[in-house]
Amino acid sequence: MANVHRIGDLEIAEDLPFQERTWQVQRAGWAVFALILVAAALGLFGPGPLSSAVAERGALRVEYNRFERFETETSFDVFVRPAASDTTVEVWLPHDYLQHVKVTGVSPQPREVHDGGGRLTYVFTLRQPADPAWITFRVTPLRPGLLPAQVGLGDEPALQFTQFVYP
Amino acid sequence: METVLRGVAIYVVLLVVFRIAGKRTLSQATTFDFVLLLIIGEATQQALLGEDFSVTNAILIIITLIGVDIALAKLKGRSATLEQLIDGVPLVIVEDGRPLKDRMVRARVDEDDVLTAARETQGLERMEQIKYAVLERSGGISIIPRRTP
Repeated sequence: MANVHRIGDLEIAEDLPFQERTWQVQRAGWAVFALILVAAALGLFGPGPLSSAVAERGALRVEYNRFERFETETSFDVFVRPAASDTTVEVWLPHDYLQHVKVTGVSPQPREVHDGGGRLTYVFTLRQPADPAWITFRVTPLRPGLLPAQVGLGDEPALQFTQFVYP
Repeated sequence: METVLRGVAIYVVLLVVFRIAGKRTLSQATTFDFVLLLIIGEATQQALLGEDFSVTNAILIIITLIGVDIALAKLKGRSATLEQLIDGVPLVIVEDGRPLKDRMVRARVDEDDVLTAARETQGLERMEQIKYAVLERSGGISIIPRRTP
């Protein structure tokens, strides 16, 4: 099988040109390792500096990570500036989005959670009317690949943003 | 399906990474090398099992890994090029008691490594007693002693 030949008194499958090429490929490989580590530190493979992103419209602002990892719990933050007369804040997650993630926790605790109209609605009480709200959703992605995320506030259409889930 | 994919993916990734790391990285010369191998095993464990801790999943993973290994062994048997690609080739590093310096530098082996192998495997004392030293595919060093007439 391997090309055994005679070198001096040895019969051996040595192949110096192949060995040279192997060393070159290995050095290139080490450079790739270094690049991967740098990219990881920067947040290209998961949460990190380059991964942090913001989506906002009107009174709703969501801080999330562009890159997530499969079956790994993560979170995103929802910031709401309610109208002057509001005493509650309603944040909802459509069923389409919920097929991609499992919601494992919400803080603070909502006053109630109800399901209907193709969405899961979380109702939070404000201590004083028009108090800005900060809500954290803990979620775990259920599938690798592109994750089209949607978060809605009250009656407005959902705010949409895209994440990528590494397998 | 996911189970099989995990198994194959991990097998291939480990094969490629170890091949790029080079022979000496995992030749277990020291206790630390052994510990490093253990830790790498721990790191891949979670990725292999995911959140499925059933016996069924474990059996499927094991069969997948062994199966891929067997398939690869068969392919290597048919193609010398593939075998070279995956397993590497041996390299003579000492000839007639003379260390081949530039090869040793590139292979990340020094004379002390050769002398250690000579002591451990052949009970030799000095470099001049070594006829050939070969860096094998595994990263270990094999020694052919000089036969004194």
